[in-house]
Amino acid sequence: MKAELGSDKSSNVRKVVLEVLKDFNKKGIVISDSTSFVGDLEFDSLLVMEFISELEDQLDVSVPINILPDIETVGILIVNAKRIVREEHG
Amino acid sequence: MQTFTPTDNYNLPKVLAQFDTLTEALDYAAKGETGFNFYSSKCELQSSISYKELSNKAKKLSFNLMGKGIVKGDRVALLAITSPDFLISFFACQYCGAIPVPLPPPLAFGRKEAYIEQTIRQLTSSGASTFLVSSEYLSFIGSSIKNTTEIISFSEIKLFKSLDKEIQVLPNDLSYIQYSSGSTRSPKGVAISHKNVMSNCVGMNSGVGNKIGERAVSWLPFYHDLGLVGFMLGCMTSQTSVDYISPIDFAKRPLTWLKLIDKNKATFSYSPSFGYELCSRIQKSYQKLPDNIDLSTWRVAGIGGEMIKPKVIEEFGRIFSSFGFKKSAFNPSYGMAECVVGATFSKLNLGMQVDHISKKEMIERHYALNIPIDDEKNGRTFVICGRVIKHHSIEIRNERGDILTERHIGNIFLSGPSIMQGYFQDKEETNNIIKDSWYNTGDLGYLIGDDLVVVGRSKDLMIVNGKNYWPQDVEWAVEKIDGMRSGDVAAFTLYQDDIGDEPTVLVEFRKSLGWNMKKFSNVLRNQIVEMVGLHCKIILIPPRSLPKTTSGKLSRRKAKEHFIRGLIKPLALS
Repeated sequence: MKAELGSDKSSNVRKVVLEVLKDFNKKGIVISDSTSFVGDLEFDSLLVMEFISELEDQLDVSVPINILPDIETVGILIVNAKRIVREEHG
Repeated sequence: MQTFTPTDNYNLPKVLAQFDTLTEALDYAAKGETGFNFYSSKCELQSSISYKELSNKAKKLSFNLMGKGIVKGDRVALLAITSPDFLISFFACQYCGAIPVPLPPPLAFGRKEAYIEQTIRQLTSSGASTFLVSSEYLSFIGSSIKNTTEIISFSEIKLFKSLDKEIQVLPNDLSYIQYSSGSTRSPKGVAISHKNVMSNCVGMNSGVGNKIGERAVSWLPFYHDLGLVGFMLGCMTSQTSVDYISPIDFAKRPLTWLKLIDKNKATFSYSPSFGYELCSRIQKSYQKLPDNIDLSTWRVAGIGGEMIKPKVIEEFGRIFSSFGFKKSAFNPSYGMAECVVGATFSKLNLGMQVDHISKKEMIERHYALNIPIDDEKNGRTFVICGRVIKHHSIEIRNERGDILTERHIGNIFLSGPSIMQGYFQDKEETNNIIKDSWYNTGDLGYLIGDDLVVVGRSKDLMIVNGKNYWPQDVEWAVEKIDGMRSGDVAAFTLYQDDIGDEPTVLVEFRKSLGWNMKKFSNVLRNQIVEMVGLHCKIILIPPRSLPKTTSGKLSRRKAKEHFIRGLIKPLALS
């Protein structure tokens, strides 16, 4: 049952990330995998944490803080979020 | 089961920082039961370290440091995460006479290159031979920083052979170097001696009226003076227990800060304006503080670190009064790393006091003429930041160096035993700002009696959400764009009543560059974000409209003044 929930979650990760991002997309730009957090979405370090916190709640995972420097774009975040969901929920 | 350290020591008399060195202060605190406690974002106790354990572990680690070959005076960089490891390493350095250099971890999305460049420059400037980091960052930092500094994790350093040697620490020895000052391009390490830090802790503890029953809560990072000294050294030297959450957990769940104050009945906590603002915003929107939270024990709610926004502070007081928060607890203060941390504190139990002055008189005559508070159109409201700490002096001077009288606006100068030894190995910069033992803060303000009012932070520094940015870095980023020349750009913050300090960049626009104005603005904005991590308002202005000094250098102060007075007009978007 749990494994099923996990794989279901993994396939939904993209949807959840994009849903959470809606609240943080102040200028209403079109979001794609290559959208940059800092350049396009104007994320500063405070907003990053608020966003991560919301994402953690929605995906029921804990995002390790040391992956942040590698997360340039929405696409890279989705790849990493999928991996974390897989690791934590099997 | 893990328990937290008590608020007061059972037998040890409270001594408010009257020690010669940090090691002497820790040896004294180690005779009691108080100490540091670390909580999770859910307000659960994760670890706790009494001053006694801290002293023992730090002494033991100092032997490993010496065994590794670190000698008195060597600089040791430390990744300043909120954890016992950082604190043990910091005090291990103290015991063996090494000079710790706390550096921030990378906390933004992306911007990897910018972080690495900044860290390398700080390591080079301090000449640190060793950089101790937490194991989670070991591979990232170890693989990207390729200079002569050896990078070792907090756990690996414990494996070095032990060299048991007593090192004498003297009041004039350096106790740490802090990099909150200076641009990325040319970092300036604030070098603080034991005597500096102890005298500031004496002044601060007396300023906030530390007494029996005091318990502190902090989320402030250890790489900033407010976190490192205000809520670590200041508390240790007065044997005060502190409950911490990390700045990351605070940013994720700001209300945890307030829950933690309730949890152990804390009396003392601090934040820049933006921390109070964040709590109000969250409380008004989706998260709510449980009704049974009680903030009535909070005796000193300090405000410092950036220009204080009166409206934000008033709103916090209003929203959280139903949780027992007392507005009279607000304590506006003023300070900077160059004088350790705190320079002035407000009188206790008065709350935030403001002065409403005429905009016209302020700009034209540099005079702070008090006008009725309801005259919003013609006035500006500033927060009164209190009196200078014990054994220190303050003066307001004009550009010529004359000392000004009450209500005349000028540069704020400080003198006293907390003023730093200087910028580390940078005599020229040090001599520029410390003359005849007076430190030129570069900030603007005026006095009402003995009370200081700050009207603008350093004409150079741009403080946004408590973080320092340097206009030189912003201007440099713009100058890197093809066709731009140095002197074409001026960056500063403009105070807007509703949003506070807004980072603003004036850029001379020449048609010959072949850009469309809108596109050009976007390119500039992105370039600054990539290189500096700051979102600025870009204002294009006609060529040759930025004022220059007699030697042809950009006069940032005049540029800002001309812009405010309408002498420089923005180009209309075509």
